Amino acid sequence: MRRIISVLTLVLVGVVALTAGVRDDFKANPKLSANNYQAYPVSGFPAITAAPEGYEPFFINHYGRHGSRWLIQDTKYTYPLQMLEKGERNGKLTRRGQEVLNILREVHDASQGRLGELSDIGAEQHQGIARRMYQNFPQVFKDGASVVARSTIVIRCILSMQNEVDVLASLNPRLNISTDASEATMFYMNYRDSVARALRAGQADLVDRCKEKWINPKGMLKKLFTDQSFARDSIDDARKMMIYLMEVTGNMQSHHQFEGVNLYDVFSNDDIYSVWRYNNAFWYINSGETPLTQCRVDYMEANLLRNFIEDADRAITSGDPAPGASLRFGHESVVLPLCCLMGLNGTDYRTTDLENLDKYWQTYKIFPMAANIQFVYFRKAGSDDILMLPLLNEREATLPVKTDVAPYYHWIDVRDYFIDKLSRQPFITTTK
Amino acid sequence: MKRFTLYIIMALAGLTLYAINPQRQIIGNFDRSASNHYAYPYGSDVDVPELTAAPAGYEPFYIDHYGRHGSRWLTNGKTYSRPINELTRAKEAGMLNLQGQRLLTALSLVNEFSQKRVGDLSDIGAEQHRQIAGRMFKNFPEVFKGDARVDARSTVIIRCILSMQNETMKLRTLNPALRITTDASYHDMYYMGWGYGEDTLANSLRKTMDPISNGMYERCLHPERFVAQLVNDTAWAAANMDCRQLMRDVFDVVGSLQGHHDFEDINLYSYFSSDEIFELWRLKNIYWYIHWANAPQNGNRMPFIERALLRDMIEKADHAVATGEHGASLRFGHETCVLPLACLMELDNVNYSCDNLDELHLYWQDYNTIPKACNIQMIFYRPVGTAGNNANNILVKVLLNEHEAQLPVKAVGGPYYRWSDLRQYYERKLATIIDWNVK
Repeated sequence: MRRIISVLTLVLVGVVALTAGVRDDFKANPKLSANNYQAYPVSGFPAITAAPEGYEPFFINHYGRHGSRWLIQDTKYTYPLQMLEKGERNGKLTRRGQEVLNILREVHDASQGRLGELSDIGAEQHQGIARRMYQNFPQVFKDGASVVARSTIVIRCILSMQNEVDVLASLNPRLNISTDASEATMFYMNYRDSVARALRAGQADLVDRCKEKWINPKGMLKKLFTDQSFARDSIDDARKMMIYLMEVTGNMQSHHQFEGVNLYDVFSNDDIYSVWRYNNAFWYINSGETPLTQCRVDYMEANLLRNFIEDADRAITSGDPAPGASLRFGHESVVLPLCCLMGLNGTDYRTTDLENLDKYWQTYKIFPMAANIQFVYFRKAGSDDILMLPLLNEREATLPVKTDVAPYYHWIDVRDYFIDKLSRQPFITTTK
Repeated sequence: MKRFTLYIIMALAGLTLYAINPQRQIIGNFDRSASNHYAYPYGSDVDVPELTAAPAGYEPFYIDHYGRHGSRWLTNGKTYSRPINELTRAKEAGMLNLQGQRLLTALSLVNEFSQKRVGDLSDIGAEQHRQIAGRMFKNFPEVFKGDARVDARSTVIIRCILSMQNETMKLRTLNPALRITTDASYHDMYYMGWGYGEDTLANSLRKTMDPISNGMYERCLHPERFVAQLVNDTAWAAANMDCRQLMRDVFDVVGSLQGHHDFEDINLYSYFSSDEIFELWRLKNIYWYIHWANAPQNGNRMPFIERALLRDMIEKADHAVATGEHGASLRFGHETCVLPLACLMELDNVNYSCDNLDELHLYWQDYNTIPKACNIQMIFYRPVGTAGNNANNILVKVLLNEHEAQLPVKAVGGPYYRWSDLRQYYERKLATIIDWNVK
């Protein structure tokens, strides 16, 4: 009995510690809670573990998200702005409320004609990623190496690609670089999967219930409005206002012009955690491998994973001395399900329990702006055993595959794992 | 008297030279007949025009540029598929002969390659921009030295963005220290691309040009021989096929093949006689002229759709002169901007005004102005060792598709003009009141 209690205690402590991790992370740096609006780090990248004796990198398989950007929907800027304007017209704003309104006006003005576009910081993120990719694996980018870069047809992705390949070209002008952004590759670059869409839609109510249950806008309203009954009566949807305002707040880090603006004081630590927690559940339903959606949604990236395998096969078997890199530029809504499908860093975690999800599965660790997956392939003269080092956001990552050369994997094992996993769901159409 | 006669003869000779023979130019190079699909002529650094040395004591410090995307797939998928549908119908009716079947096979191959690619930049298109950027750097190294600033902008159309990307990437390989920024935003579309700004006012005016152009095709284009080579029964073809449209579609596809390495070995001009090629070009030349150039038929108004673009070029040049900062403003867009802009700037004879469309081709040829990747580069010079912020000391030369263009003010010498003269001339012209209403 004692033993059971102590085990239970240990488990409980463990769970508390797990969530405490998220809360502590946000306390230390609230910008992390911005989740998919989080700016990609500019420093602190750990050194890459040296490859086993005799192995040299020769090919990189990559999918990366566009860098920091403006919000896509105008209403995310305008809705909180309009709600605060109601308070302004009636003299019901606190001093901070008025300041926040003024800042929102400035940000909204600056966003005109810019919605969804790559920001200055977003461009820099890709320049940095390309520079480190080159510095970490110079052998991949030797003279004459091919760099085949593809982007979705969305402009912020194309400009992200442009910033990476430009830097690579400047580091070695003798690279053989081609770029493309075409409907012809969209079936794997950003596949529209009607099955996944329907499965998700079936769980939309569940996600909405999380929102109702977890998000409480009262504290925020007190900071912004002097008269709480006025706020209650005149704001159509205070939760929506809170979520949007937090998105605008979180996205300040996307622009040099606004990176110093901090509006997190309008929210308590609980607010910050709760809104993120709701977002986390939202993304889990939208991308994760959960029985709630028949463990099928992440298979929306089946075409992309197959494209990874095909490009690796070609690089390995073609005999090309410098196959270089396959660089792909797209969206977090692709990176995340791809991570789950690959099982990178345990993101293939399965649960139906959204209440406890955030203890085991955290999106802010996966997809900041410019989030990227790099599979780096190594070979050794005289050996057919190709090793692969998986990186998530330039950090060594794990796969659900046994290895005796961690953090490296035998590519053949990973390849078999992927092929096997892909075959476990019905064929995903590649119809162009 | 003898002397007078001699003058007249010389003058006539001059006129003949001016009225070049486009028929000969096209027979010498059928690719020119593709009008706006003509691949940029200096594809592999061959026959690039020689440039006059900088005036003594001057050096270039700034480039103001607008360029079109490079070679691309046709933007309308129907141009590929429509002739296939026509020929397939003939085939199913047992009316397609061997020659026709060979054409159908070739067109089907091209159509298959074009799937999901319509409007995309081609491989050759990407190369065109790398070469243009390489020559720009080589010709004007002072502009791109050290940490020069390059402000590159594109319309929101992907082939233009990738064209920009190929140029900036080339520049970066030549000087990694360049401070390059790139953008492609709706924010700038009012001056960067057609379909925005003052251009929207010209829509109804352009529509009134359609009947003129279509009427010329009806009147002048005779598809009988072209179709007869493809079918077993010309009477059947005349009754069952839109022969004129078929001929035009096939010609558009044939002319576009020069934009792709994949099709380098496919030559389909042999389906057309040289007279037909010339006539198809001549009619397209008229289309481009009346829709987008300084044609009396459009009231000589169309060049003014690029007013905002020329203003932007002047503003950015003013800024460069005032700050003395060296570098370049690169803009990437469309031939529907380059052509009216070249007219507005009165480069060479692009602004030619011609009442008699039957003679237009003698004096004005679209392939000289709007090949793929066509571009206008204004090169600004200042006295060596100065900061460049005395506007009166600034000289300028303008390159149209990399050859030195004549400008509408008095030259200081050779292709060089005083910026203050040119700026004043343009400012006055920009103030012209244009009534876009169609009477």
